[in-house]
Amino acid sequence: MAEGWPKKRRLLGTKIRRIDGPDKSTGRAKYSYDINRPGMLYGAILRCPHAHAKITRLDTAAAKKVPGFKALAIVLPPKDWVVVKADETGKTLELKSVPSKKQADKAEKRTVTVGPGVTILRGNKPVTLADLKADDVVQVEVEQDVIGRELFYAGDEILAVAADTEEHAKDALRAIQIEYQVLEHVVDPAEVLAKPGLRTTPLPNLSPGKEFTKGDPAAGFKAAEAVVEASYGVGVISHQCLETHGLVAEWDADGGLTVWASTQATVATAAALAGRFGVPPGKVKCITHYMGGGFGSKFGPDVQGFLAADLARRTGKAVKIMLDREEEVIAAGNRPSAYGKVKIGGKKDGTITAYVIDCYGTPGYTGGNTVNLNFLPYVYQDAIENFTRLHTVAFTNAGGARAMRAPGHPQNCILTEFAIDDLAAKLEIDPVIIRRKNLPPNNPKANKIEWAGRRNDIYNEQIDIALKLSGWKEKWHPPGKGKSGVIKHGIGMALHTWGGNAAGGTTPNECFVFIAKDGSVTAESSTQDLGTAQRTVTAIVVAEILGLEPTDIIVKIGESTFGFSTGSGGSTTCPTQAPAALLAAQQARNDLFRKVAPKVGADPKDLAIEVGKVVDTKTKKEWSWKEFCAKLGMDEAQGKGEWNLAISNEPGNENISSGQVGGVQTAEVLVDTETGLIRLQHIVAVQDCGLVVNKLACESQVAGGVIMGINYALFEENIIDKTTGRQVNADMEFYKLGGLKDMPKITVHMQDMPERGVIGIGEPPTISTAAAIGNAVFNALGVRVPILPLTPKRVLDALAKGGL
Amino acid sequence: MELPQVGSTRCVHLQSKAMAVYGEGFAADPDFQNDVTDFTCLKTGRALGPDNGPVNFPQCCNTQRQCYEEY
Amino acid sequence: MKNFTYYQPTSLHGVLKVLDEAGGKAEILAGGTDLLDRMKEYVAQPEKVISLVGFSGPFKEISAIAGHPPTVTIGAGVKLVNIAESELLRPYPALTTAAAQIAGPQIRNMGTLGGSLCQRNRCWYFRDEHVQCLLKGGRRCFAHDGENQYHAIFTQGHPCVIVHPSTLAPPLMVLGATCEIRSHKGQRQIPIEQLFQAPVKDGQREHTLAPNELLVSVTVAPKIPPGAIFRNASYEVKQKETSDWPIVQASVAYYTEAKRHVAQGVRIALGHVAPTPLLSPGAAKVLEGQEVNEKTASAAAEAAVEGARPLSQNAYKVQQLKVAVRRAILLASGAKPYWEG
Repeated sequence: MAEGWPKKRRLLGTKIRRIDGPDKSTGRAKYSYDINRPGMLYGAILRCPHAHAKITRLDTAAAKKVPGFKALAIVLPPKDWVVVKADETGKTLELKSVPSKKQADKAEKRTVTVGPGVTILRGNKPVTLADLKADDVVQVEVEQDVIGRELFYAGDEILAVAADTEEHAKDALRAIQIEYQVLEHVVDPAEVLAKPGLRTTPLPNLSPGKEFTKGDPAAGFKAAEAVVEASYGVGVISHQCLETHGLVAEWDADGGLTVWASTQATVATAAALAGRFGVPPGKVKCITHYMGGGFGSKFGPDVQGFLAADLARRTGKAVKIMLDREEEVIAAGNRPSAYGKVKIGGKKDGTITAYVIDCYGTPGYTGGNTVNLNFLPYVYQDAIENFTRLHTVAFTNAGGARAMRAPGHPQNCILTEFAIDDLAAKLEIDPVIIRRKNLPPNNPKANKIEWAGRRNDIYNEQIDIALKLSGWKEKWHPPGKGKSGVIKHGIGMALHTWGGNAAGGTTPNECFVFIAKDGSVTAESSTQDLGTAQRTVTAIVVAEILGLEPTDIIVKIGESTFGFSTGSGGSTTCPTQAPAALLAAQQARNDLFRKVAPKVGADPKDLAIEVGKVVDTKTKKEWSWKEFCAKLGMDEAQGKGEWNLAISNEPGNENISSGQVGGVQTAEVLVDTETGLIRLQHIVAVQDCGLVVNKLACESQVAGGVIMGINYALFEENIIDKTTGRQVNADMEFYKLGGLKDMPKITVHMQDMPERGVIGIGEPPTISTAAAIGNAVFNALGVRVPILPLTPKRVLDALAKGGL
Repeated sequence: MELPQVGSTRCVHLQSKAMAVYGEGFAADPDFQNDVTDFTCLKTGRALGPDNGPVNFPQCCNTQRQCYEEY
Repeated sequence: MKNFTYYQPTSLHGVLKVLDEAGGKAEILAGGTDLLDRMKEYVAQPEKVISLVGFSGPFKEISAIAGHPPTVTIGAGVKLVNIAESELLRPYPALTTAAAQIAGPQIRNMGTLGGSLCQRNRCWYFRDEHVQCLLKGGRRCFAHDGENQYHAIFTQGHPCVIVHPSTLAPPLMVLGATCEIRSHKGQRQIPIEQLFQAPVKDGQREHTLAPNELLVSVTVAPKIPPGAIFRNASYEVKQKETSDWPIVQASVAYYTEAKRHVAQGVRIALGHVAPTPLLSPGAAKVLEGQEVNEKTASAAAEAAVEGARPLSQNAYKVQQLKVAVRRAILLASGAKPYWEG
């Protein structure tokens, strides 16, 4: 049985500064973007300028004459073939397909005339006809194969070049002669709904969902004392990672590959590259020592990573491809839009008697649902007896969606929480009454320590705290009934939930701890720090167990070869890595006691750690940490911690990690009714996350989530021109992101619940901010501004329509 | 926790965020269950396969697809 | 960016000579905050780039703020931050507050007066290499029926509906500024209103300088009778308080007698609402001779938007412009801002 988290916590739950803070703030920390290898080349990607097109002509000859040009790679990977005959004099290569179980009966044959525009690779090295013999397995790329390829959005990747400088790479791209047949495109999801037969995307544009009903909504509306029907929505936004996507790839003489990648998953990225290039996983290394944000959009090498590695194997040089800002916005993922018609009914006591939603959204040219459909009407669905939900996906000719910080949840929250405040207004009650009345009940069968067994209590407590911290009682007024004047004050609230299995997948996450005879301690894991302070989390946990300070711990993370770890998604990093570090540190400590005890004449089970020393609880003898470790002699003390869902479910491990949290946020705003400008005054974020490891980093995470939510509410939107099908604001100029002066006071309240163990905090705090702000604006104006972001145009339009 | 049943036939090149996080336990991911996860083809690095067709769970479990490769 | 020949002359004279020889194929590099962007985006592909910064620093003819108020001359190479913080320009809050609010500190520390006045427009179609709009030899303005939320509302007679991007132009217009322009062959002075034009085709700029001319300085010299009190202010509506363009802007200047608050010599200019910064004689006329209060300010504001023809998505700018004019007038009057809670 595991010993679990220490009962007396010295470091855990306190505010501890990041151990890598100085490195980051002085620039000593090297991000993927900062990596420059000897002789490194720069890659650049040719992208389709049209929203939907087919390639009709490609001529790369001029590009290859550009000074500094080194190599060109087509986006669709070279195909594997078996050499039948390599004819040097005839310059032809006869090929047959690689035998597979599936296609044995229909072996494909091809004869390629070798010349410019044809690349042959064997074992990841370029070869010529002279190098080949029958039965060699080769990859053959014929540039002209790209003719006829369909491209689905303005930004779709076609090929990449490598050159000695970034400028030469761009020059080469511009020298490529390419022609397109421009095809019909659609960028507006509403247009997809209006034209059901459209097919401008890989799947039919319109993908209707299945209606789901619980109870009897019609009866629910009949029983209602007020019914509201309204439409709400929010546009598509981009992740806007400060460090863009990309990597540096370098092959070694032994056919091994090293990449310095901006990724949320070092192990998965290395595995993907190994698979793609047919290299044993043990010969691929992915390094991510520091990383400038991913938010769900960086789980693998991506096409640019494959291209960099492909160009690197062709040239024998390291190749760097980091996306530029425009590419980052259009091609590296998005949070999809969601627009919904909502009908909600309720009673004065706050009961929601029925909720019906018909919603749609666009993920771009590819992706899935744009709301988290099984969680609608969001946190209240277990309490609401009657509801119907229907969701339609509208594919459009825009970059594809990717997971973004609590995928689908902010959209769910908006589509639910806006309706609650509108219903409250019609019922003439404080919307908090509705929220409280429809909170999910505690599950009586569940463990009382866990979320399900106490969620009703947690929410009620969170609401109490939020009301107090926001001054709700004094500040709330019926919508539009605040003080008179052109500046209107409002306050709003929204609730969120997050989480499932936070302990990880099938293969356990690993962490290793080594104690050396000089007393130095090294913790090692392949996990990555996205900017969340994971490096510091590991240091805190190990230091807590070994009686040291976090800065005493040498933390080596972010290299795929340091054991197994899962991708940092679903807010699972801390709840998998902190337990693994805990177990590793405890094991290393036990190993130390076992190895040194005989040398000091003690029984290992009598030894204990206090701050900076080891004590024999029986004899009261004590040794300083260094003194004690020195007795390791030629040995080293080692510990390995492993954590995943199965281990977390073993008896005795229940309180080490857990999943699922709730949160309550309030927003206080001032709205200038003449200009439509919104100025935020105060955001309160109340959040549980089980055992708080580092209160400072935790609060920063919540504040960061809130700031992201503020931008979602007020500023951000991918604006795509209908005529050209091109995004007009793929930048940071008209794709607006608030700066310091746009941010209000943010009060974060962490509910520390150590008995629940560690739970992730990355995603939840960004969910309800936008909905709370939207509700605050409604409270200020008495008029709903139904679509986010709440631009001055939308505020003024709503005021003109709704009147004050 | 009860997990949705996922068949064993899927293309070896199919990848998603849920898979990068949970490995073979990917069906436990609520995003996967709600189809709000994004899929990538590990042959192309894109959301389109070698046949330029869509990459998602049902499409990449289709053993008849030209580019489908068994585990 | 496309390769170019870089010139770093050692004197202003040298700049003018190279400019003259370039025959329209050169761009002037001052702070570079606009030019480098355009070059990196391939929107500008000049053959020659001529630096306004010599080896031993900026040329003195263009880098000083000098004079005796009310007449102050600002070199075209003066940084925005130095305008914002200038002691000599303190009587002109219309100008200094506008300079202080441009973009963020990085831009204000690099951007110059000349750059603010001579920069190219920010239309997102114009700035997209792949869109052939009117100003790049194309046949249509994509903003007319496209994404035009930040475009012009005074659109009549304008085939291209950009807004002029300079936030310093409107205050300089109400301060009665004149521009000194030099070329290798001579020099001329024009009222600042004449510096701007609405471009309609490839090769035209948002200013009227000939290809061999350089804006050297701007002199503000408002006409103020002895004993009168000069009042001026600017007001911008910006969605963000950090690094954002104004959606609309108004600048106002007038003078009053010491005792009576009756506006005389009224000048009102509008920014970010038309292809050029606009003087609004109509609005000025409504306020002229009136006691300044919310009512008269509102009447002038109504007059300022007369003739506005907003596009499909920017009618809200008409409302905002009215507010900006009203608030600028009231700010100039020293009234307590009614819009601050």
